[in-house]
Amino acid sequence: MTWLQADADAEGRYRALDTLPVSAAAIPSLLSALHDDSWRVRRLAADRLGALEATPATVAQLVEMLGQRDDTGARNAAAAVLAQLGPAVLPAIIELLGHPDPDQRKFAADILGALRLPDAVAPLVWALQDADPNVRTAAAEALGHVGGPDARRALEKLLSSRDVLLRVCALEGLSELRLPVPLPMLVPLLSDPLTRRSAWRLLGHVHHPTASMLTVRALALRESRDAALVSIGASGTPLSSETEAELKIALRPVIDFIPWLEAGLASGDEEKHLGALLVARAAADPRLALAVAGSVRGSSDGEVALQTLLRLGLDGARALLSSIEALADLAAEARAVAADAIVRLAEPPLCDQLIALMDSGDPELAELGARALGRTRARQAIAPLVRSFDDDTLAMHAWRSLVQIAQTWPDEVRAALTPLVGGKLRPHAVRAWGEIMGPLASEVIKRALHDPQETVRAAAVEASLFSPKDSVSVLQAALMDESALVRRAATRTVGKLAPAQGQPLLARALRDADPTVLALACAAAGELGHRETIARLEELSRHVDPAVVLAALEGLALMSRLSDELLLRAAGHGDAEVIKLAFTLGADRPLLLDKAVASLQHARWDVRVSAGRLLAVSAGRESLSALQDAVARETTDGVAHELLSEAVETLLRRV
Amino acid sequence: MGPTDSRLEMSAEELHLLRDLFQQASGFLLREDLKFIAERRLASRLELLGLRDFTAYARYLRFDARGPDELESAIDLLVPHETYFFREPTQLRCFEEELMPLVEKKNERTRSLQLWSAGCSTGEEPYTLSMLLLDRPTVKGWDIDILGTDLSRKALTSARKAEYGPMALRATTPEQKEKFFQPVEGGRVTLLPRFREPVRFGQLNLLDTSAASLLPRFDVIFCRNVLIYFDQATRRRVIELFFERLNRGGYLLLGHSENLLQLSTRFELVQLEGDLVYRRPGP
Repeated sequence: MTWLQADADAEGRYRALDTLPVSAAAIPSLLSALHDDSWRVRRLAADRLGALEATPATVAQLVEMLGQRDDTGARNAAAAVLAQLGPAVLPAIIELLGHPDPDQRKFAADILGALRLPDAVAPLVWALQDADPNVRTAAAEALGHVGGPDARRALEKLLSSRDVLLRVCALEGLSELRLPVPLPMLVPLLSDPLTRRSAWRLLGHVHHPTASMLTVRALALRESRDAALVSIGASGTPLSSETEAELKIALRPVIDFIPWLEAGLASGDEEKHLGALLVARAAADPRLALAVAGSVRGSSDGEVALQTLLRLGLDGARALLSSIEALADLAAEARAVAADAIVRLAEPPLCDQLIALMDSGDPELAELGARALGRTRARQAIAPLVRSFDDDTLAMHAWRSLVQIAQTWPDEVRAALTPLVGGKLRPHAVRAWGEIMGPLASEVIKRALHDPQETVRAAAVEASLFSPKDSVSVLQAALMDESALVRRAATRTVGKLAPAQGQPLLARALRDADPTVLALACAAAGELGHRETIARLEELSRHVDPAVVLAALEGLALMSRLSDELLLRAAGHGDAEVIKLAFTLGADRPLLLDKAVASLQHARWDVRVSAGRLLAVSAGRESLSALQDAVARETTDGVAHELLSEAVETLLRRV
Repeated sequence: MGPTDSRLEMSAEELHLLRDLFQQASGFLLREDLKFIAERRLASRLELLGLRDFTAYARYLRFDARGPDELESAIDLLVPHETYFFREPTQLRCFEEELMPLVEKKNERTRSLQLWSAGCSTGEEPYTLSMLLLDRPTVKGWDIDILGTDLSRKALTSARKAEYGPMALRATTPEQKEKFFQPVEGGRVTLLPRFREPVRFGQLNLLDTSAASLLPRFDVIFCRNVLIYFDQATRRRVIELFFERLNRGGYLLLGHSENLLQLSTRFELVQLEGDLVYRRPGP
């Protein structure tokens, strides 16, 4: 248990440091914590120091720490802090480039690279002549981080250096900066085993027909094909149709094309993986479907993978569905993309496989099957979908899918649903029946309206929308139902009626005792534009329930009848959502500016952001400092910090 | 619509709004890296509810009368329930061969066993424990009580039904299938009643301390692949709850990628031959 004990001590030090107020007074403790045994403590101290203003004394101590050879943890932590402190440390670090100790000169080059400041370029170019190879390499790497015309020239010059490490650094730096170089400079490096990989990567940024031709040829050769994948991935853009056509021809004789590309798709190297996705998209071979889906890691590659799967077409979808086990074993991100592709590619030939998904017992796959079956519009999908009305979760998707299929097979869907609406009624079956049968559903709707279950009655109310001759009488009855669930369904449906039909019903709903019904009634009044309801909406904008207040304010805004007085009251409301709405609706009125400035200190981040947005679009320069202060205060919430910074930029652009 | 269907994007602000709501309701942390999945899985909810974007969805969750139900559905969609019988066989073997003898020795006087499967999803884990224990000669005649809890009502309904498709049986051998299940319609199976008997289920939000205080004390708690969906503060609270609900000398088993580092120093780490487990100190 010794290690647990040690960890407990470190945890205590971490927590103590975490509670320390971030101010200049904390600097000595934070500097001392950079020597801590625990990397977590060191990292926390470095982050905190990095957020503070750099004083000459702090910078001097940090630079001094870089020389403490016996404390590697502190040296690295000090370098991390200096890299965060910005332009203030530049003179000291440039000076360090001339230190007698090569280790410290290397630290200096690394820090200058991390600072990414243009003024560091000239000293870094000078450091390329350093006597120590590690310093030269660090300087070359740093130039690749900083960029700019002088850095580019220096890196291009390094491409012909006799030092292979410098050549590689230059290639990598130019790739990072996405700066193409003339092909004659690059081509000799493509065949050198030591520079090949980096050179192909840089070739991805060269948009020239010859570059594409070289890449396609390289894909067909065992010794260069992996590097070519990296090149395609580095470019990050889909291949042109001409290149894709050439690529298909080039890959035709490659015997192990599928396993090789599968390996590329599974690669941990991001660029290689993306290159493999783009090549798979061009090759459009359905055998790659599972590997393409399985390679998805998140939003960075999800869209490319989806587009690739869509290109693989129906056969690709069939391949995805060929093994339910394989589909179920995909990681969540991969499964989401595969599901997206299957739904979009769903066609009648996939019916059997989609039905098998519904029966798989995996709730997510069953739902996917039910959704996709609707898209097939196939007759054979009707029976399994009707069966799934027994399952509450699937029933909702079955209803939607059957409505889609009924557009192609109306009589067959009706026949399949008839037994379901003849006996004990289920909510989604009633909805499906109403939507598919229209006015002919009248009898079932009336029966459902008397059902003991409120969910069935609510479904009948919603279904009545498709039977116009019944809807008003159904809604009249439903608005007097003892269940708020049914009255809510009725109120929502009222909002979808023609204004003349909806008006008298709305008046009733706007007097309901239940706030949830009232909120829906306010929304419906706004959507229908009933001016007769304005007085009642104004009254309800003072309601105790914030949901009602929100809906009433929105209703009034939709009718352009939101008064300054109501808006001001809303901006001072106790509920955050109401305040946010006031700032959104009142963005064009100067009367909220003071409230917005005050709300920059609100406890909720979303209110602060909303206030910032209002100021960005309607305040003058006098609000700038308040907004900038609000940005400075946002030290823990990254999203709020970013959104408020955007507000500052918008304001600065405008005034 | 065809392959050109457009997709609804979730902004950083919307992700943050939903994260706040989910975290407050259940401790579930909608991390940045889950945005991709959230966009896709929640899109169908927005379509069904007729909502234009995720901001409207966040407001619906907070204010609509169906908001609390929808919140539960949303979390249901985002937290994977994917599980199967006899999952993580190495850990189960360690439980059977190394841990159970210690627990049996400790409980030989009371001849009872209390187990909790926290985050049991559709019931595969507590039922697996039932299958492992019921025919174990050394606890024959003992009073065995296995509790399965989950936040998802939908998952618990499935668990109580005890009917499973091929996916739940992917690590089950033909012999085990023969011994513990009987076939039902459509290639599915149902667990034999004898193995369902010791297992009971309940809905529990692990952050709801008042509800959790009603729980008995357990000899072993299984909480595998649940903590990964919580933020650090929530994990600490949940681990504290487990500590309180364990008998002295009781064991906590986590998923193979989970540990108590930076969460709690109250547990002892026990190195068994096949696994690392945590133990509440005591006799």
